[in-house]
Amino acid sequence: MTVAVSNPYEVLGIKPGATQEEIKKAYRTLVKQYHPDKYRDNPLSDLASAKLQEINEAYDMLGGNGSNGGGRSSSSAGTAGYGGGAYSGSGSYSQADQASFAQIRSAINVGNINMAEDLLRRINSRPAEWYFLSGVVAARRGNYSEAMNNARQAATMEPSNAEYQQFLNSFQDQNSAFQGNAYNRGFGRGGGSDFCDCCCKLWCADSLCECCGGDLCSCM
Amino acid sequence: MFGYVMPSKGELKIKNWNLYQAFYCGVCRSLGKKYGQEARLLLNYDTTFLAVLLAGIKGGYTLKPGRCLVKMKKQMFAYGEAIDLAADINVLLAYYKSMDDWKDDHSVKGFVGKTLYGRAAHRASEKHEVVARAIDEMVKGVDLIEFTNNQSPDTAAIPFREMLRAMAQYVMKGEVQSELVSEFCAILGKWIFIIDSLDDLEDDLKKKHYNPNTLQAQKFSVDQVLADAEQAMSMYMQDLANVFEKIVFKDEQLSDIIENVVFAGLMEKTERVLKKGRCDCGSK
Repeated sequence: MTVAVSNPYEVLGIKPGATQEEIKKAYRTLVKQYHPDKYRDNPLSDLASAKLQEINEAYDMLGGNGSNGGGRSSSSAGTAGYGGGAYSGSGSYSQADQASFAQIRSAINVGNINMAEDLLRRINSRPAEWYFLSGVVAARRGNYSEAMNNARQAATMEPSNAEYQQFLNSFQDQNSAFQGNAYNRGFGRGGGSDFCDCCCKLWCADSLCECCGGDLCSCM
Repeated sequence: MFGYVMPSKGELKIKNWNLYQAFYCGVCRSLGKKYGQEARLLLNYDTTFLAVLLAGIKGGYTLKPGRCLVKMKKQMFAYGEAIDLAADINVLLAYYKSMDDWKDDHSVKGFVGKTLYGRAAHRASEKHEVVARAIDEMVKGVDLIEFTNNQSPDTAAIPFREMLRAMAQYVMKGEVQSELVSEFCAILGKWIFIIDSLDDLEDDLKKKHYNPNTLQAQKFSVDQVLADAEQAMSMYMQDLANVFEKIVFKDEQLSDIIENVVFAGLMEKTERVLKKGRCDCGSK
């Protein structure tokens, strides 16, 4: 069933010529707002799902959903630098999946990890968002290796996504936190000094070597 | 699976190191006395830690001077229920390990262990049926994981984790802190399994053996897996530290040793496993 959408920009509430990033952002906000779950026992539920469909339609028209759609936006907004990004990587990223991801996010937000896990299991496609959300769920369960693997996968599939990058970096923070904890108890060298220390030593060694006419690291 | 849980010697007070030695030698002596001199070869650090943990929580150990036949010198030995229990569990785990070695690649070491210690293991399993059953369950679980080629390190660690939980529940039966200590051992078990899988990763890839990190290593690289693992490992350690803080210890000196293991010993091992072959500045 298709809903006739005359002006997709109007539906998404953005100016014509908006970038892919802006389109995606607007789309996400709207999906959250009109998600059927929010209106489950509400007389407005029909209205909300109709609206959601309209939004999905408009998003598709603007090429948010893959390779073949994006006529208008790619010509006017010049998304060349964004090549291969967004959701195009995985190919099949259906509207149903998109809605499920929003549902999973809200389940995680209210702390219903079992439900989020169950919903993730039912999704067949494997876009970056699936890996990201699986990672979040695994971390909540204390399954850090699995969480890390998923975070790495999501961040590799969509390197420009700030949310995935941030999730990946949060592991580094936790690592420093533990080392800081150990340091406070009188153990070890303190949080995160390892890498700096290593660089410093290398730099010193290189300088010393250069004094004697050699070169340890040609790039320094 | 053995030799990952030990204190960081450099961070330990000398009096605590001596006490730890007394426990190590105590477990060794208990092994020799109950299972014959050849059983002393089975001694490992991990069960020594179990003895330290148990004695630290329950108290009730004594120190007596004696002469070690291996080191040919006089020193202290720890005696007590915790030490004997650790020795029994040591025999059972070591026997399982040689069975596993034998099954995996029919190594000589595996065969010798299997034949030499069969009787000792039988005696220990009659005494501690619960522990023997926990090991059996773990073996079954690991078989299933390997058969289905599971590629989540956390899922693959479940059988080993639950074995340690069951053992802790057994040795802490009726104690107030039973739940807490079981949780501590479970997290430790998960950590041991995963660090062991990372330690074996390169070897397993070469020999095409099962490893829960194979897929990730193929998608990215072994180096990437090891670098990522460093961060995940410290998060397990943080979980472990959180439980450690809740446990009340009767013996302060032993509690210091356990604190050392949780905050420094495991970290040192992690660094050694993950940075091997790339940079040797961390090894001592």
